[in-house]
Amino acid sequence: MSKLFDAVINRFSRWVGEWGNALFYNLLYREIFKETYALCDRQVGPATAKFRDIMSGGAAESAERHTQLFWLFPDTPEGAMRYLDILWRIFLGVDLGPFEKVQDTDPDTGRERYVFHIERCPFCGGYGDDAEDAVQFLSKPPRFEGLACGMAGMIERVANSYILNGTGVKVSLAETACMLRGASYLEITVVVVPDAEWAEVGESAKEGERRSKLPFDIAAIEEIVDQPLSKLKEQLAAVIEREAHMTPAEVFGMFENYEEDLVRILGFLPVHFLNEYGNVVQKILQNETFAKLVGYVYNAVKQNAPRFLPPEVARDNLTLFLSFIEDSAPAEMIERYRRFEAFDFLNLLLEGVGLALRDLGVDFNGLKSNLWEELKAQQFQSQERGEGEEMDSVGWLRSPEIIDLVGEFLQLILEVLALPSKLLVAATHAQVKTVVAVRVELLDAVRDRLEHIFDIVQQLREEGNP
Amino acid sequence: MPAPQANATSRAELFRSQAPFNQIRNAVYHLIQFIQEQQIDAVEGLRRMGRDIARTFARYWTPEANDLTDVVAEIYRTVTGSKVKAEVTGDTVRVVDKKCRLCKYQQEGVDVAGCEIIASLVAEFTAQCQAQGLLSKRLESLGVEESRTRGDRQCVHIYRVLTE
Repeated sequence: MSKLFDAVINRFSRWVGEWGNALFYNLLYREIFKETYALCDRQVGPATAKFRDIMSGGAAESAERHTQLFWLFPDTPEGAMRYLDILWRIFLGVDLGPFEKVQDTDPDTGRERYVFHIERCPFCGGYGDDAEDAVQFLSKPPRFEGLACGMAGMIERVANSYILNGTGVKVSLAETACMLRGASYLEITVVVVPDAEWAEVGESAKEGERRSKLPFDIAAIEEIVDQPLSKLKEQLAAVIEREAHMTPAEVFGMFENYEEDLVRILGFLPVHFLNEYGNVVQKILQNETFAKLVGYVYNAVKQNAPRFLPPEVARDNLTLFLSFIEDSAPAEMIERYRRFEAFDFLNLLLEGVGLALRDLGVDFNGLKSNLWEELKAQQFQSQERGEGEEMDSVGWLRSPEIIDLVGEFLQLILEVLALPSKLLVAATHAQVKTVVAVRVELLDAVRDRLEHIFDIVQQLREEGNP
Repeated sequence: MPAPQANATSRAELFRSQAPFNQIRNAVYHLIQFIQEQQIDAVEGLRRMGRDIARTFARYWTPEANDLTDVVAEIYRTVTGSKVKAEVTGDTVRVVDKKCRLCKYQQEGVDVAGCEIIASLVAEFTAQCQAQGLLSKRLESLGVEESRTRGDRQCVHIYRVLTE
């Protein structure tokens, strides 16, 4: 289990979620089933089928609005099922708890199968204690699903439409044992079905359009960082050939005599690349306050990097870059890069980032010389307006949380800037223990920093700030 | 496999957790469409759901406040997660919910608000509190005056105060 993946998914789902009390959710789920059951003339077979349909329809609509969340998942049934507990938390908000997973083959069809035995069922737990738990499951024929079938339908629909779509396979999820029917656990059976055979197995639900998907598996980041540089270079070459349909040598050859532009592009592209996925960056920067904040953090890093970053660390960014391209780029190009001053590479990289941020909505011209000037100006405006008036749209920049947020962003950027040094040290010594230690230290630091940033932003949202 | 823990996902424990309502909110509208396909009054079904939710919920939690408008605000905040404004005029209570958990997007072809469930839930909750001797008055839901489902900016629930 990737801790980084877990943290990113959990925080992102928390970010896009509209949260309420879990008992209310549980009882609303029960009531939807009860109404469906009554409308299906109290016939459990049609009721469970319709209930699955209703719940999966709701889940698909929500997934369509937040497709980015599912791009992060591995797009193989085995990979996706590794993260059943994360999907469970996205849908239900509570932990899956202890479970066992058995991977085998369906004896009837020979299809790949995963059987989950889940100790705690949030739908069965406490069911029957209250008079309003009207549907009696014990009396129903066991060939039908139980109360958790709605959740199974939700996960099946979203997995097929947004995670596995386009992979040639789908999964069918069914509740095959229910605690309300006397089983000692909730059993969910997942069967992998080729697309061509899906019509005879599952619902012919409209597939969501998976607009695009990350070209890497975020769950595998920790393994990637663990690898030696030579392995990473091979992977980079493979990505270039796959995406650009050119060899790395051809790509770098195009930039001979345009070395500075290549570095700017290296800063420019990742920002636009991030934005490709749901226009997330652009949406954030549409908010005037966040746009200003990003602008001030960017300016602070650009202006002050030479003051707080040792030249050796700045140089390591270039060294790492060269170690990636030295086998593919023309020798003259490498030589020109070697003549760069310590901060040249970093400055060009940041220029590229700045160009991309400007493209996406940061108005650098409208910014004061630094954040503190902005705060002073706001304080002055506030005094001019008089006490007691409501803050304007950027007045909350003065709040302590915003100061924390700026600090966290700066720390995160510093940690990322120092990454090449750490990787180079580990690679130079080529000791497994060192590499692992660097990986753990780096990813833990990034994860903690991101978690703290999410916490602050969540706090700001709960306080009703923009 | 070890034996299941007793009540590990009991309702008392669920009460202490939070859940995302995005999917189930949409599911409510799929249910409304299903009810309307059967030529049945969807509002009555939603109100029945709200009442049954309140009756069960009140066994696991009751509000601490004893002033009616404070109780209403506490129910909204604790159960649905919404911070609301409750205004009393005579025997009418008007509650404005800008972030209703069951309405967010305008739903094409649906003229019934999912938050009929919430209005009915809150009214029944006050009845449960009155029955337990925690409140001297209770509310009757008069329905949903405005709803984000119908294209309004906010949801507005109207109640009548009953003393008996």
